[in-house]
Amino acid sequence: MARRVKMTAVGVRPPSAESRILERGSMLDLVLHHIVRELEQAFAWRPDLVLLPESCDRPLDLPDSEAGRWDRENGPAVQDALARIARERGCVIAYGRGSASLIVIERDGTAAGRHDLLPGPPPPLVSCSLGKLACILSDEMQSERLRDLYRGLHPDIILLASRFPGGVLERSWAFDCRAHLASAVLFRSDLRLPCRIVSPVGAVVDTSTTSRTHARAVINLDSAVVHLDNHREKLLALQGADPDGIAVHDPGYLGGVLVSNEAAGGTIGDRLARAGIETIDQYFTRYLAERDRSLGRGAPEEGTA
Amino acid sequence: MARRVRVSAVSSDFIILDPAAGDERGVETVLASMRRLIAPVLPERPDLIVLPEVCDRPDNYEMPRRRAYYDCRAERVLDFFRQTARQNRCWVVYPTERLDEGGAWRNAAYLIDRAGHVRGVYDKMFVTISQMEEDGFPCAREPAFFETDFGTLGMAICFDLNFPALLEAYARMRPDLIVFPSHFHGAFLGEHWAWACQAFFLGAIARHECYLISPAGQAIARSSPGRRFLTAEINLDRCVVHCDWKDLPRLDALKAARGKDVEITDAGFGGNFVVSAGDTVRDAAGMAREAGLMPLDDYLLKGEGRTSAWPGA
Repeated sequence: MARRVKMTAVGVRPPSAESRILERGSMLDLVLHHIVRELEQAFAWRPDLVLLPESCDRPLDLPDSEAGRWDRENGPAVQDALARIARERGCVIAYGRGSASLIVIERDGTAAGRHDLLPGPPPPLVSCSLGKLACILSDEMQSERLRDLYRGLHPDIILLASRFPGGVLERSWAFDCRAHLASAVLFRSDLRLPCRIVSPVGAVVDTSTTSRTHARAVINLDSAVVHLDNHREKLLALQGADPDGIAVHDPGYLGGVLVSNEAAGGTIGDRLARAGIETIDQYFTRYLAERDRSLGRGAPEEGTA
Repeated sequence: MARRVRVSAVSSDFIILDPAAGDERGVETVLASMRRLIAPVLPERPDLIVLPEVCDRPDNYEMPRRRAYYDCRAERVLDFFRQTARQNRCWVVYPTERLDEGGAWRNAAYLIDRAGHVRGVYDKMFVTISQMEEDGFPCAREPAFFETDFGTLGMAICFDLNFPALLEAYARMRPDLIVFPSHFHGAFLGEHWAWACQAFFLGAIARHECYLISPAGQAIARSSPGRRFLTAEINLDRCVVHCDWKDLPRLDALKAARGKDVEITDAGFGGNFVVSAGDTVRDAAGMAREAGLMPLDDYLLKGEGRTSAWPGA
């Protein structure tokens, strides 16, 4: 059954740490004002899930010596404000709390879970009403080990709350984990860095612009990545038999395509299995076993699966 | 010290031979096609030319027919590229189907040096199932790592790009340049490989665009529908650094101090920059460290240190 989620990644430019001498009101009010201003634009679309960047709850360029105190004194108030907004708007909100945590708030304003910057034990996925979320902060974006861990946990959505654009790493994370990805990036002054929605085949579905500070897309979580090798005819037949119930998105050049179950019933896994279509992981696993047999090996090589 | 190299990649079309014309005529047709492919890049005087996967394969012949044709071809196309390398004082990567010493046909790529000598062969490690079953091609076990007079080369062919084992091998070996002759374009995978190996990545793709990626994962040259080849100069003396926003003034200070003796490019993501040495600087990595910049390797090591207590780490 189609599991559609309206997902938005919102860029935020927090007030400068110097703003306290330029503007009226408390710094906390200013920080919240900057978040709410961007959220208002995004909420016109009534998203199910909103992602805000790392450190969106702090003044920009807060010295390290002041950051801890700021987080202790003001972090709970920002979380309370976002919980209230989540409840009022009926959406899940995820945001980077300082540079060390990613907080996920449920539609009813309760905390769904949090991800803390490594080190620590291997982080679990965060479960919420929309599905299983893999959370990443910008300093973790380049960790192959974290990516390997998350790949094995099969998240529905990857959330990257960052202070840098993720570039090709966003695309390779999404493709490696066969999951949709949202990246929200902290804006520096007036420099609007790209927030993006990336599909499980690494295709950039939407990006923020100079006039729109958020990226948005309706994604369908009942989907799977299939390799075109040996599957072209079967995919055509599957789609031909139910043109409105099966969507195939080919980003081109990759070999992998995203197949979604748009129907009101069944699951993409069942529908692919009935059509004799393997997922890309089933195909690569079968390929590696075949390759090992041809090389006279019993078990797959380390790192090849 | 700057190590500047000019690299070229060319694309190709289907090769359709007329079986009735005979194999001798077929070989002449293929040789003419190979001449046409490389002619546009030779005036650029490249140090290296890379051709696409199995660039001289007759695409309308099934394997049994191809074997008969290859009997006639023998090493004439290889000899053509050896002569091309010698006459133009350049290295050539010539991907083809070859008969190995054990009598097996392989999807492979020859590396030919400036004197026209074959300096190595890479046999494709991840041959597709259809190539195994229908063409009888075995998979090779070893990646390629070749020394040249301008730097070190790794190779991947087509389907290879899907498999982490080969990527991880090259990430450990750290070649200066990975060449990718292919029929499969690879989308963004080449950018990921380049970043993961901190190597230049040069794709020569049959019937698609060719592309060159920087060691930080940024596309720096592409062919076009009208010009289906590319030539670009790259500087192999490079160091990929990670720079947080607060460290950016260090890059500015380095540029101010070194002027033209340092080249700095921004990959545009992840805080990754490439610092390259100019003509009078000893080496890029040393220069970056002296400037207080953190090499990406150190940054990654620090990051992986955060997971050192994980089971199996």
